[in-house]
Amino acid sequence: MAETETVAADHQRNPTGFQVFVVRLRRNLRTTTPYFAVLGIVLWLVVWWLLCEVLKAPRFEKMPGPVMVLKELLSPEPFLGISIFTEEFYQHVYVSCRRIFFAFCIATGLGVPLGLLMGWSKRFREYTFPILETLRPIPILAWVPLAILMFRGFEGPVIFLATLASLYVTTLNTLLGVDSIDESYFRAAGCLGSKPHHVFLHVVIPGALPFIFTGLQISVGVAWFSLVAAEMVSGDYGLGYLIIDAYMNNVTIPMVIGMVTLGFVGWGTSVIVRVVGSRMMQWRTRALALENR
Amino acid sequence: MTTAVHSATNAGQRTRRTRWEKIRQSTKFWRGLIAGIVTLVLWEIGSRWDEWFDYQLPFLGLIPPPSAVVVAWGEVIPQYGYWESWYLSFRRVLEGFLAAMIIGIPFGLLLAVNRYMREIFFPPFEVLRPIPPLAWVPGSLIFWPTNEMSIAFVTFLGAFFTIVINVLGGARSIDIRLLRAAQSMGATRWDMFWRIVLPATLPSIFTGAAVGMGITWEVVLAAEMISGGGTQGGGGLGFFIWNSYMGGSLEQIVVGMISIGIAGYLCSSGIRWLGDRSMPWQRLF
Amino acid sequence: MNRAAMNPEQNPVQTKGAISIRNVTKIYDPEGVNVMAVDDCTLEIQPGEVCMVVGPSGCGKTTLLNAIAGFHSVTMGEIYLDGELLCGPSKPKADQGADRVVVFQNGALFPWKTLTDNVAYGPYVQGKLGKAESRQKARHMLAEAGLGDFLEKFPGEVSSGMARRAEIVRALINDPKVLLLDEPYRAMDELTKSIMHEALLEMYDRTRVTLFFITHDLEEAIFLGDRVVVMTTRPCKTKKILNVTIPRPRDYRVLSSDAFRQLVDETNEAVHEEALKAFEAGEREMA
Repeated sequence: MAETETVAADHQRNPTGFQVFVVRLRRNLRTTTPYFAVLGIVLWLVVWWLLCEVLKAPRFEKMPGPVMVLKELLSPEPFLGISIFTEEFYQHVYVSCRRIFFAFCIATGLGVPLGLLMGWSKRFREYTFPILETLRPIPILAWVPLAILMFRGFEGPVIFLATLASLYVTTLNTLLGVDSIDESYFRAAGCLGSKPHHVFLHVVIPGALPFIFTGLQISVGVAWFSLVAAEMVSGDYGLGYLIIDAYMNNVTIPMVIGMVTLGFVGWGTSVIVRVVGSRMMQWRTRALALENR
Repeated sequence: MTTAVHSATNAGQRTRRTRWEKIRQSTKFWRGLIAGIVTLVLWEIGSRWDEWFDYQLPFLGLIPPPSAVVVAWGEVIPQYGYWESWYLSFRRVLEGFLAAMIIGIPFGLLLAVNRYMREIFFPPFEVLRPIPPLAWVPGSLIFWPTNEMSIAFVTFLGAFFTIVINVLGGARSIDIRLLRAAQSMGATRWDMFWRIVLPATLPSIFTGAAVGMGITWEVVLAAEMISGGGTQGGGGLGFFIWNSYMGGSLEQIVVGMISIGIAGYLCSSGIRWLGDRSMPWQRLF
Repeated sequence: MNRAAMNPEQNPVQTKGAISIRNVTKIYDPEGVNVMAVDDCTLEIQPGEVCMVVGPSGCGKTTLLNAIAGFHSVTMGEIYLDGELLCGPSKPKADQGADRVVVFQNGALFPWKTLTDNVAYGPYVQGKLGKAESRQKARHMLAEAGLGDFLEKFPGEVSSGMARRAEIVRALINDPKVLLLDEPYRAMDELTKSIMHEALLEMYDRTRVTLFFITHDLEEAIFLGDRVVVMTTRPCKTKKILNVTIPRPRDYRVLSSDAFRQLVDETNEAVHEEALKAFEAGEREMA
């Protein structure tokens, strides 16, 4: 009885994520930071607009200004075929996101267990790490021709390249995460009578989580990076293809639309990873919140 | 019993093992070597499977065997074009990288030191950052008059964002006690910047530089493939790979890949070496 | 299970938990340079004794503790627990079944588990209790230690004193033969420390578990201990053993008694000389 009461009281004392968000937003609005941020972005847009559309400065005249891009992006009947009202636009976004999703899932599914094993077993690490380190300096882009030859079609090479990029990052960060776990946690688990699988489940995995999620955030970033490259070199759809296709056809507005969309979607995916991460690491989120970070 | 231990300790203290001895005695080295050899052998067998058993393995069977790669490499090394590719790629990487360092470090420090600058200029920077550097390639090909300049621009962008973020993060996380200690000893703002903020940020600068170097190579390669694949033919290792691909020489593709790997490795070792040199206090640990 | 808790007057006479350290020597070999951490150390600890070990920082006390805990082997000599070989020149026993539990210098509560889950971990992984039962018992023991309001908090959310107390509960729930404490109150201020001391003594009076307690705070050593072992600087061996005859139960009033002050002076003399030697050697402490 008394126990349930303390638990209930506990819940009241721990605000939900949304409440924390609102409190922080209110506090932030009282400082100058958000206003300066808006000012900065507006300033940058105005400079871009002036250079490209009003002054038509040399060389800048070739690029579309923000107003032109926005007009095209929001027009129901776009002049150049790409706007938020056309199905083709969503087709490109969808294809890229699907590829990222597969690549990210494969890379995480392989990289996290691999990294955990490498961190956990010294022998496994000494056999596999040198191979990884030898392959890693080869840039992902250098794999493009081989990927095209090894995988037929359009999907295979693109997903392979994005996966490869993410895989390195995820594996290495997971490995670092296991390394970062203080030796005393292993010792504590040992002297409390753990079997090796307990250590793995209760110490190695949760201890490495913060690094794993940092790694996953970077991994989404590099997945997009190599996806764009791969789609540019070989692709039939996708945002990278949209950009290079516009370039080939000598139209610049869809190109900028592609870049802006890429920025947005890429940012969105990294936010998703971050939110999932802080959900899974309540212990860390709460401790950081106490330190007001 | 104890005396034996004593003499053993004393002897041990006097003779340090040499570096080579240490490597030879570590299991780590031998395991790495075994792993490398096993991988090479498996690769060779996998690639030659169809020659011997009349059946092509998926994926691996399409890659040329390491022995063929070595032969192809031997053919390429005396050629002038191969080394010119090295030179061109290196030059592009260094140009873009140095430009990013020269502009990125002061910019990052400025954002770190001045609150208004940070609050105004950081948001647009954050808006641009998620756009992958390669997405800028076509735009810069249109914008800049020559191919070479557009490659340099994209390379610069790739490293720039990473370096600025690292410098800013490093400079912002300086232990406040250091600054207070300096202040209490009567340091001017100028002194604090040169003697505390800058050295304390050095580790982050080098981290950023190492990551940035990796991105630079990626970008140069992509730019060479995309632009050089066209009519102008800018050269470089990326173009070397692309050309081999077009010419259907699988062995040369792998030679190109390994060459780029080596080149990238050389560059990042260079940065590590410089970092060790300029931060002696970090080596103590 | 808590017989002792129910009738605290009747102090059980402890029969288990005798540690015997015989001629232990430990030499580290990092980077090809031999460092002797422990040199021919011999020590007998009675069951249910509070053995306090003091010595200058980095002298090798922790090495000794790690050897007892079975974290590494020793170069020569043996360590026995109730006549059973714990640690010798060969590899230490891997599976230890929580008969000796360590409380670490910087605290090692798993930050990703709530206090209850932390305490419930031991019985659960040993298969002694199910998940729900072990949690039930953990909640009970935490509440007994005055942590009833923090059951579902994470270690990062409570004060270091609370966390340290929970860590001791986490050790005790396994009913260990020996509790090994490695400077557990190192980073605490004097006031918190004194509260922690009283709680520890109260706990000891209840369970009479053997304590092997490392510290470099002399007053702490004498206030808590039955015997104070003064170690030399590296390589570490026993320099002097003092018997503390102040009767139990003790409280903070003991601190101002003449007997106490005299013991402090006596220990100080022995320790100061070693501390000076260690300081002049100027080596970086081994954590």
